[in-house]
Amino acid sequence: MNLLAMHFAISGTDISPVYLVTIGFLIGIMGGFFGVGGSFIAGPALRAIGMHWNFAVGTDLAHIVGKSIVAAKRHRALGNVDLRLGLIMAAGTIGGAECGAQLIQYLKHRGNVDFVVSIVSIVIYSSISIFIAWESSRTVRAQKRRGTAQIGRLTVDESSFEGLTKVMHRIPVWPVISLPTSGVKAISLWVIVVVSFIGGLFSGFLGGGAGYIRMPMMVYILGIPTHLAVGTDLFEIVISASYGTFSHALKGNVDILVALVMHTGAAIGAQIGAILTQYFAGPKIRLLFVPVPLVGVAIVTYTLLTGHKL
Amino acid sequence: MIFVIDEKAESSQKTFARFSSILRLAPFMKADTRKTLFSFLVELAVYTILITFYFFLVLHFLGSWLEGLGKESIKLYALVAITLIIGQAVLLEWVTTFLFRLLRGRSE
Repeated sequence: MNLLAMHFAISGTDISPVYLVTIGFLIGIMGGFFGVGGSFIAGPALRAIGMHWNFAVGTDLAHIVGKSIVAAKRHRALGNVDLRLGLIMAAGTIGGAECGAQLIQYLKHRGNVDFVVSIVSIVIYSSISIFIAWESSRTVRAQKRRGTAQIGRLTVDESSFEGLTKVMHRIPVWPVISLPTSGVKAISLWVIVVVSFIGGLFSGFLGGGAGYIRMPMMVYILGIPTHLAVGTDLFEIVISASYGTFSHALKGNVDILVALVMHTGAAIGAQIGAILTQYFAGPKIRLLFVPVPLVGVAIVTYTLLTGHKL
Repeated sequence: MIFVIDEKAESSQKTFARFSSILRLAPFMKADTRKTLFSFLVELAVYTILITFYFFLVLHFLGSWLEGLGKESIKLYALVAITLIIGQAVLLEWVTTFLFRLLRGRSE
């Protein structure tokens, strides 16, 4: 086996396994820490070494399944997974992902899919970054003023958007359920379904797991503590990404050997990322999350301006 | 008794002390952090060796079989693909957790 270039016959590419393991490791740390799939980095990273986009998207999804299993299991051991919430969200995500994919098909027929998707992703990623930077820095400052800032998950998670969360919890649409693990006494099932559906819609429309939008929505709209949002999001990604992988594999878009090699790095990275969450309070995790969507903005802007895919 | 101070020897002693300090990961680093970092580096080394063997033994032999399967039956390939990634995830999660516990003597 050549460590500089191994031939992956399914996708017809020559890639260094060291490169794949390193990319997997870095994305694994990020995924375990923030609860995101990291597709906006993994996709371009696979594309950069000559893999076709269809294979990059499908293979990345397969690797996300493996990585999310490892990270979600670690988060579950740390008490950061709300299984009930995760299962409800998985159903909404799958429905949303299908609608997102249909939207892509519609834009394909109109012939302007690349431009529309690029503009939407730049606007969405930038807005998420700006919003979280504003909210989490405000919360951290308020905690410092009151002297309540503590380290890790011992802290009661706070957000500057608790007003919005309370309004969402008061929506009286049947059935109203409780989420004891997440500390939510009453919330309409439909609020959860709509939130996960929107996450799925972006997943189908922009690709990947869309954790960059689902994790903040879980914190600000559903009122889930950040540590639980990260863990539950990963659990939910296991189900929705498995569905996506199977669907892409049927279309011949998955080189499972590439995914397996990437995942060997991601497995240990995800464990490290999950353990690291113990050392940071919720608002600080959110603050550190700010540059993550901006990486996506940089990649999409570069592609849009130069016409070259990374 | 006369002691002859060898400047070269003194210099090499200083260099040794400096390297020892670096190897101890600097005095400002807490003992716990130093231990965690050391465990992590050992874990990473053990994991790298295991993974290299894994590449040789499993992926090398699976390659041609999977390629053939993808051409013969795409449905079976999709099923095998999802099973493989889930199976590997469970296996590696077990391996990494085992390494964490073995090297630190406790579960994190």
